[in-house]
Amino acid sequence: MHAELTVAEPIEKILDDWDFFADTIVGKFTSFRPVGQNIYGIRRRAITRTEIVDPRKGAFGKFFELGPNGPVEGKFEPMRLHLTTAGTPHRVANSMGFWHINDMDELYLPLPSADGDPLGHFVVIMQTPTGREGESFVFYCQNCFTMLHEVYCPTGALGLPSIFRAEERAVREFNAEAAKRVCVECGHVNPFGYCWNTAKDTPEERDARAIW
Amino acid sequence: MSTEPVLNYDFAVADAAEEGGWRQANRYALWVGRQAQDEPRPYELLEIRGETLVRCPLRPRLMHLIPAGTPHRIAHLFAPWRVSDADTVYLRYAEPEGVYHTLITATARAVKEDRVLFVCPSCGHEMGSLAFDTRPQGMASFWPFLLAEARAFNSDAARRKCGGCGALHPVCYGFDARSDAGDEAAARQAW
Repeated sequence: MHAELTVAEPIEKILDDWDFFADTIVGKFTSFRPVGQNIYGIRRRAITRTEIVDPRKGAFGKFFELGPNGPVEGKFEPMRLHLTTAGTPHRVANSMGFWHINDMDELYLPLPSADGDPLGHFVVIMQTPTGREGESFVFYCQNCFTMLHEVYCPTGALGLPSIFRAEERAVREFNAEAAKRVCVECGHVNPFGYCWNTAKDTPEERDARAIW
Repeated sequence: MSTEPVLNYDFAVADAAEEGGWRQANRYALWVGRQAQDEPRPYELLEIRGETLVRCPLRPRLMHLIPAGTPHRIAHLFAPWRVSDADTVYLRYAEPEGVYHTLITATARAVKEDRVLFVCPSCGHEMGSLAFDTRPQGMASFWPFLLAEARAFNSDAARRKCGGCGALHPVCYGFDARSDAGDEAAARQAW
């Protein structure tokens, strides 16, 4: 026979982390957290009906996806659901100083700040890679889109923490040698790369974050 | 030379709520609904966890994971229960124009089937379940299956009588209110 729970408090005794948006829980999703079949990230950003402002990165939303005819610019908008399909190279301006190619779909939903709360919820959901699934951190020439450098991460085999190590390794390797940033095809000198996490920025990477 | 655009999916949740129905966005299946702020019969997520019926509180904003294998239904949206191999994310967010509800579920290697489950509301006795082969047919096709099974159940008085307590199971209804027939609309209002 079922025993019904009809009030808010007891549910926490039955289910852990039952509301990812709860003040006591949401901090667990500041970065990325795998739960079951998906990986979740929840960013607390100032989100109105028209704009998204990240407390560390400023105005936020312009992104690029690389298609057969080159990069296509898009914008994350509040109350719009966007899905970047698996295998599509993509990056977010001033947030990801590299191109990300994921074997998994990535789903984004920015929700405006609710009454009385200065920050909204920028929800990111992606499938948890398993087996041989993984992702790459890639640098293309900004002028001709020749691939200049790639670090592949077998996330399905190594787990989520390997992503951040691979990302940092890709950025550091790309930035370490000036020659790596010079396109072998067209000679264009590309800017430094940078990681998603602003805390990892060197002074050069901080400058690069401001420009691309 | 290819002229194909970048393949992605991008839509306003307000438009999705207006249009109704499930959307397939690559490996994710998505649904968005919206109710008035003062809706007298708000959608309410129910789950069966072990022997306990859990009612998810109607917070103005919440994000809840329904783990794979958890029987669940949303009162006034669909009955009977669904049990899926796939994790499902439920979002509830109140905005000035209404309260949005969003369901997100992804197909993965582990996802093979969804099940329709009949449970006596009076005593919790399981009154039958039917499997749907999700992998080849896709999540969106599950909901017509649920409706067909609900109608078959509704029309069979013997199946509706609980083997545990003898109570008559209420009429079930499908996911899309626009498809309601007979007494399904009244049942949707009731439970």
